[in-house]
Amino acid sequence: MTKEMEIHIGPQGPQQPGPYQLFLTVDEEEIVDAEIDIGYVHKGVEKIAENRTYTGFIPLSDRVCYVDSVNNNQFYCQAIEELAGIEVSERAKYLRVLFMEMQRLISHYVWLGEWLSELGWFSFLLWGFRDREHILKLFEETIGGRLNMSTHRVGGVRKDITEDMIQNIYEEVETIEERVKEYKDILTDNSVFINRTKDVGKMSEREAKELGVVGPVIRGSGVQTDIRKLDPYAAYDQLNFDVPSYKGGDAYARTMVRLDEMLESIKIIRQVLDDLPEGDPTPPDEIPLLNINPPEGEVYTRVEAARGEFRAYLVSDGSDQPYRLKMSGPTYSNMQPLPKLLVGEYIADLYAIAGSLDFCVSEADR
Amino acid sequence: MENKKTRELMDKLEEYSIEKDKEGKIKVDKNNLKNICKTAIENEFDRLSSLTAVDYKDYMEVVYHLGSYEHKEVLVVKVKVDKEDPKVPTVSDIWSYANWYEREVWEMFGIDFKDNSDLRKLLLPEEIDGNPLRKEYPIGGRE
Repeated sequence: MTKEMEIHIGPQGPQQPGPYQLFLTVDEEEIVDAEIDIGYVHKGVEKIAENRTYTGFIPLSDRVCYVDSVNNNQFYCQAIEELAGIEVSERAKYLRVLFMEMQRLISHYVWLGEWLSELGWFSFLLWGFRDREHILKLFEETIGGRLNMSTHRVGGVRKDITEDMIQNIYEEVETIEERVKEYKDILTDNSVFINRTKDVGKMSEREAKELGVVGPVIRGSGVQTDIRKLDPYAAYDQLNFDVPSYKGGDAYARTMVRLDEMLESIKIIRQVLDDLPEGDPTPPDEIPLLNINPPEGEVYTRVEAARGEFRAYLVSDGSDQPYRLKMSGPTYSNMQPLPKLLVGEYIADLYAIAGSLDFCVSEADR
Repeated sequence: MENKKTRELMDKLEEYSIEKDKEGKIKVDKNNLKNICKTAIENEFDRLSSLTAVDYKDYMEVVYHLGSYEHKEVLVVKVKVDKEDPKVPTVSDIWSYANWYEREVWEMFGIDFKDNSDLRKLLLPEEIDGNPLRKEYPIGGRE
């Protein structure tokens, strides 16, 4: 006869990508009940959006999740452009894709390093952050920022890139590609990693759909869904890339999806640089920099951010401020099922499961 | 934009629609909401992509975006609610993950989701009164 025990973990945990609290009921080593509490970094971003001009919110959209700032710029600018019927030049579309894929690599590196260090593999933290630095340097060179890039403007991008920068990106991408392949070899060949992730946090295709997860998490359960293919935006309809998906549904499969995605991102970056159209990617003069007044109406738009589908619902009343901006990020969708996934698992696997879902708590809380 | 599936579904939902447009938006009565969700699920719109509300000063609207993992079309279902006594039926028995969305709309707009037994604060601290995303809520917070 064993006695059940209640354990509270967080909100400040050494291995958490932001504050959230878990209430676990454990029976010896096994989790029998779990409950999650978020909201520790709620900043009222949606309310703030209603009191900023349309352009004034672009830098704030970065800060919804700084690990994925360019993709956040994209959903926001895309929503305004759809609402106001603004056309974006071809070069700007390609540059947006370039920046978004570089951001995806950054995000996946942060996840790779942090998560594997949670599993006790500290070298990966150093490797992940070392490689991420390569891309951060490229961003610094091309756009000026390192974390909150604000690459986008309504109707284009903030800055054009030069021939020298293109050469630099080609070179860096070369190094990065080799390393990603190496990491994949290391992980697929390591029995400790395999034992810690195979059949851990399992989610079948049906369960994944029932739990409403998105992005690499659902692709790890064999559902090949990706907004870049399903409802292409920017220049994705002109680029050739695959959507990796694995059938395992466990932490291992989700890892492999993300590693493959990094290779796909590199493929996309090369194509963008090869076929980069001529022209001026900055917004034309007739689009006002500060006072954009989209007509009355509403738009629902989506992008495939690094963590999955980011959905935005923007309502305009014809003024220069958004009337309502609803953001449903991928972490919000992927975090809610965590308690369900934890029940029946060992407490030692807690971070193997939570980490494989790749949270950005700031984005869930907004 | 091609939206063949949405149109077919909208034809099936004709009897419930108070108002509809060509882009895939329908306005419905809250009492028909569950039937609409069930019909949508049977017709390839099996996913609740987003659930939110908008405060239009005189009234509020709860907005459901129904979609799918397999196709890109989205049906927008809107339910008008009274500002004094805002109530809609829950859909968390249909989609379990609607729970967080409903909790958020409940705390931010004060809209009650009937039969959702789990309406607790999600993002806000316990001690906050009022509903911050309502238009009358001051930007600096309450005194």
